[in-house]
Amino acid sequence: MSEIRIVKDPFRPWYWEAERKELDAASAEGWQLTARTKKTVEYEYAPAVRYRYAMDYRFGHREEQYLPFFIDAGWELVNWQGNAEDCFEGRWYFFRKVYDPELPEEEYQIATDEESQKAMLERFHAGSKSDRHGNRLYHLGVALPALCIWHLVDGFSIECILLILLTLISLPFEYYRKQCLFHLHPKKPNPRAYYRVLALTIVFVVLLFATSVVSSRANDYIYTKEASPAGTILSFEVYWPNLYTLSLRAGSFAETTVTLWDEDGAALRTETGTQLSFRETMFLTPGTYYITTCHPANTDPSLHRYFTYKINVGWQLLSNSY
Amino acid sequence: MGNKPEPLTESYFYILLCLHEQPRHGYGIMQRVQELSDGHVRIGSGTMYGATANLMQKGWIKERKAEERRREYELTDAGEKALRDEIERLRHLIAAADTVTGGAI
Repeated sequence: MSEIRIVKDPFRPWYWEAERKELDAASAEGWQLTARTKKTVEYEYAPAVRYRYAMDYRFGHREEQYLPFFIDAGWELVNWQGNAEDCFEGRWYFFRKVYDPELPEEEYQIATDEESQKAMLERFHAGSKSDRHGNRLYHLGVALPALCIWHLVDGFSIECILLILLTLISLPFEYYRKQCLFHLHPKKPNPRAYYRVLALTIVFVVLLFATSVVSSRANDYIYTKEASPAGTILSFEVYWPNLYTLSLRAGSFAETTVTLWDEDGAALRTETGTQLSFRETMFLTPGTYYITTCHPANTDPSLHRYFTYKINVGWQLLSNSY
Repeated sequence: MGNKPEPLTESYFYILLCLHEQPRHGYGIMQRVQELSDGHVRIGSGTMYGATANLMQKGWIKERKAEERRREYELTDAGEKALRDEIERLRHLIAAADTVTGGAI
């Protein structure tokens, strides 16, 4: 049975030249690469043969077309590392060729002109960028369902800001990642991963909005009925998120004036009539509000019937204390 | 910029030249380039794959339906023109050099 050596913590991908040199040196000492994962390099002791190694980084390519170029030229595919199908990150290919000292050095190079060496660097940078953005998007994908659950359990104002922030942050990520994935192979991209995650993100964002609406409706809705000769306030509703919708219906056969006051005594809205019904979207900051109903001719405030509503800091809870 | 074509890289020039001769698959081109250049120019597999992808994108070469799994490439009319333009450009350069040096170099 052959001897196996596993080296942990190998080179980072951007040191591929250093890694290639190390593989060549290990091969000269009899250790031949058998597998390379993200975190390990596995060697087998086989001193009878000496190989030279080459590494190539690709994504968005068609492997069935790509590999024959190497196999025909005498390269053997040892291993690939990474994932080209779900290409957030590309795939590192590790090739080897039996070393023959008679052959020139170019025989062991896969990128033989400046243009293709530059292209390899570009691919690597684009792939790394795609990988970074992809990972961030995955984290976002984890954060969104957590936020959905949070919404259903407890409403809290900061989540609205978070949601907007996350959406804003994810948009440029999406744009740049798309650029990364499509930039190098505009005609033959591999967009499956892109569309899958995009669809997932959309589902979660929709879910997040849905749960926020459900949770806020459950908490905020208040329905008040109060019989009064001066008018009946049938409903006063505040909806979250965004702006508050004041929906006020006051029923009376007699002429009635309905006024919405803020804490400082400023009238925000006044309506006079019978069977009043108005619905208005307005921004109400947290605080105490009063609604008074009275006959239009009645100017004595002490005779007004009033209702007090409190909108709490979380603008989730609306209570009345009349 | 005008319509002046850009000079071809050595690899691209040799690839087009090989395909002008006859359609070939990737490794066939690599071998023929080596022969034509007396071993001075060797095109690595990675370079060759990238070059065929780029040349196909430019519309200078195209894939041929081959019976084997290996794909063959052939020159398109645009590729033929690019090759001719490059040869013409090189001839001009040599002619200019000969005018100055009288063919002494």
